[in-house]
Amino acid sequence: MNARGMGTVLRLVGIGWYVAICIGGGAAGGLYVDRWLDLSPWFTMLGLSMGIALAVVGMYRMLLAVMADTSDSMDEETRE
Amino acid sequence: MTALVVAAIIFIVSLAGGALGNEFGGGFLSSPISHIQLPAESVTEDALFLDFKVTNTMIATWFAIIVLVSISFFGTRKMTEVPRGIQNLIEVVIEFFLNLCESIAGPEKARRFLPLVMTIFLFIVAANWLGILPGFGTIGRIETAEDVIHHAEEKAEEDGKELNLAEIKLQVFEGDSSFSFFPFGSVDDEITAEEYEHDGVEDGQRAGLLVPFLRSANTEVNTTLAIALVAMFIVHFWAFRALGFFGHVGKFLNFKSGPIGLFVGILEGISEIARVISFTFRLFGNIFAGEVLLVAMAFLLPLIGIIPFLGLELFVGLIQAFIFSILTLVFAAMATVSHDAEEH
Repeated sequence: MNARGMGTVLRLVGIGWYVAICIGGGAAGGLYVDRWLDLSPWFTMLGLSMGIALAVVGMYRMLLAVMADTSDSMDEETRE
Repeated sequence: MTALVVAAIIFIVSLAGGALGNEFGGGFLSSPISHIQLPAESVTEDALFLDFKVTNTMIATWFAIIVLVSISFFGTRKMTEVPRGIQNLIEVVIEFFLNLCESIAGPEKARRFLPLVMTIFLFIVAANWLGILPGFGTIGRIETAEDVIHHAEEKAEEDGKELNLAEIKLQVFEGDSSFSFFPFGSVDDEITAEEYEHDGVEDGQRAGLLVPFLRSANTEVNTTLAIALVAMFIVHFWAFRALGFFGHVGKFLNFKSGPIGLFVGILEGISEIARVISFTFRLFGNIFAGEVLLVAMAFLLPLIGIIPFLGLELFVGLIQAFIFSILTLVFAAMATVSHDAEEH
């Protein structure tokens, strides 16, 4: 695998971490608010849902960027 | 070559770290297999009012609705003659289904059937695909051991059976405050209710069962049954509108064609009920089994075991949505054609 391919792989791994952090962070933030306001489990669920939504939207945008870059680099290789 | 070596190393680590490796002293990556039950679980310990409990599949249904409404809103906010972005995607899907409806039901009925067919397809595919996301089935509240045993006692009393505490399995979580989790290598951290009552758990641990906040909407029979009932109710409504009361009922109580015709009509009536049952359990069975498969593969081969099955679930979720919607369309097309027209 060349350096460009490895770069794409690392970007995709980064997207995976982004999704996990959004979801975990959302749930954790919601849990913290629940403990503070004693409203368990509503804010945990809200945080989890918002984390999932943020993860999906971010993942979609990042994947589009990766696909655009991959298609540009394939065009360059074809021209070469 | 490097990629193959890396893949082989990951596979060996996954095998050794999972439940299979646990038998040989490994199991350093896995956690106890998730508790699986058919009915949806309530996200709160007590009912909200009277006996009404909000279940995790209900929340997943609302989530799917919010996603669909959001896509529709953002896709139609600034519509252009030449579609771009989300508007383009929505138009492709609508055009595909409109052509499908026209090819099956004919151009006059296609636009009448399209909203129901598309709604069924979009809701089911959104619900199925959302159920694959991380967070579904893995984050939730912990039902304490005392509550689990209490519910098991109530159920045993209802069924008239004797409660056997040795048959009730409890998971052991690290952390005894409001935040608990399964640490790596906790594959064996399961005890029975009998062991819990005798020995309890160590300090800093708690026993119970994880009740996820989110669970794929179509893993509950109530959801799939509701969609099936709505679909068949509307199909029969269209049939009554197209053929009139006696025209439609006459298909099932057919006195014109003699006793055989009457018998066949009654069988067709029974098949209408069978359609509801088959709609319900086809979708429920596929999606619930898919979820159980994902749980089992994550338990056996953590890190990588689940990857091909996530792809399979994406495919199955789409296909099941398509099958449900296309069968509704075909049944609607058949129901709105009179018997005489069918014979000709």
